[in-house]
Amino acid sequence: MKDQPLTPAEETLMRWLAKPAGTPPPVDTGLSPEELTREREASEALGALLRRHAAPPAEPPYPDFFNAQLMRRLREETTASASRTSRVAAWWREWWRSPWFSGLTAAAAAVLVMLAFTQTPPTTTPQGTRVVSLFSPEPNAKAIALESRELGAVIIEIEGLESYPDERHLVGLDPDEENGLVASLAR
Amino acid sequence: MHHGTHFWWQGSCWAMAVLLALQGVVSGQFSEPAETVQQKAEIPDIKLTALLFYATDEPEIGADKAPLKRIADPEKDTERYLPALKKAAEAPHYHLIGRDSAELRATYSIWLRPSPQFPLQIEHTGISEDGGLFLYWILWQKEPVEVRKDRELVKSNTILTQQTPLVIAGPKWRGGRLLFVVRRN
Repeated sequence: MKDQPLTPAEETLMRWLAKPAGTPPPVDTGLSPEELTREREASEALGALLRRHAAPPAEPPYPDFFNAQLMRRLREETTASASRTSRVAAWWREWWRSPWFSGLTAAAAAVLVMLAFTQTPPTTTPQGTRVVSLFSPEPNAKAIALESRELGAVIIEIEGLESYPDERHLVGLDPDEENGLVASLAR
Repeated sequence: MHHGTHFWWQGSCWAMAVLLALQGVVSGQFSEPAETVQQKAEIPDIKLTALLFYATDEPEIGADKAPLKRIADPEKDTERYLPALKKAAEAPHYHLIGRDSAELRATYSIWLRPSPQFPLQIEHTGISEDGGLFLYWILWQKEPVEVRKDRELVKSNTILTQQTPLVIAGPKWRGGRLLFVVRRN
């Protein structure tokens, strides 16, 4: 139920009732002096009834004793929490010191590290020919690879490679020929 | 358990873990490439071909170099590889003078000899996920008997696919240059 605001006359009446007895009654309440007297009597009767049945204010009889109780409760709760923490720490220390626990941890760490270094992403897309490693044992020679998509080939160049001596023979072979030797470059 | 003994034991465990981890790292770096998914013994019949071209300024091989002649080129390899050959040698003319083919073997090296003086030693080490061939190969140069030791001109680990041949710019010789093409048939 929504409270209705008091009318000015009701508000004046309530203010007068809250004042001690003997206060001159207001003139703008719209009530006769007899009615005002009845209102005051009813109000005082209700006040007396409430005071008779309401509980007296409960205040600690001895404030020092009350504070001491509070401090004792706080100390008890703090000690209980610390005790739980120390139990967990003790359990952890016990596990940590057990030989099989250290071995197990070491093995797990080794497996994790190995897994981390051996995982490689799968490659499924055709990528064409690629040179993984290249080396020329010739002195002062350096081999380089040129992977050219435009030419459709991988070209290997050997910089600084010594020429094949001109005075030497060079023979080309063709297995489709009867004697297998058809090209001979010789001086 | 005595504390000293216990901590020695625990320290040993950790040392072992670190060693195992290092072993994992090292083996990951130096083992065969991770792309190898097929064992060598499982390779199907795969044929490789090596071609030898002579890049020169001469449109025809001169009579002074007789009995030199081009070999047959039924698959028009000269025309097919001309852009790559030009990139490798920058010569106006290219003559196909040698060809050799062989099937890959799982357990031993094969030799391709487009010229007896320049054999190619090829070893198959696996197949990549995209079907490329892991090859370890060496281009040799044969030396006279008195030298007693042939020369390795270049060696490489290469993943060779069917679409992309390998062109090796070899040594110069008599004003021209020797070019090798290695392809998977």
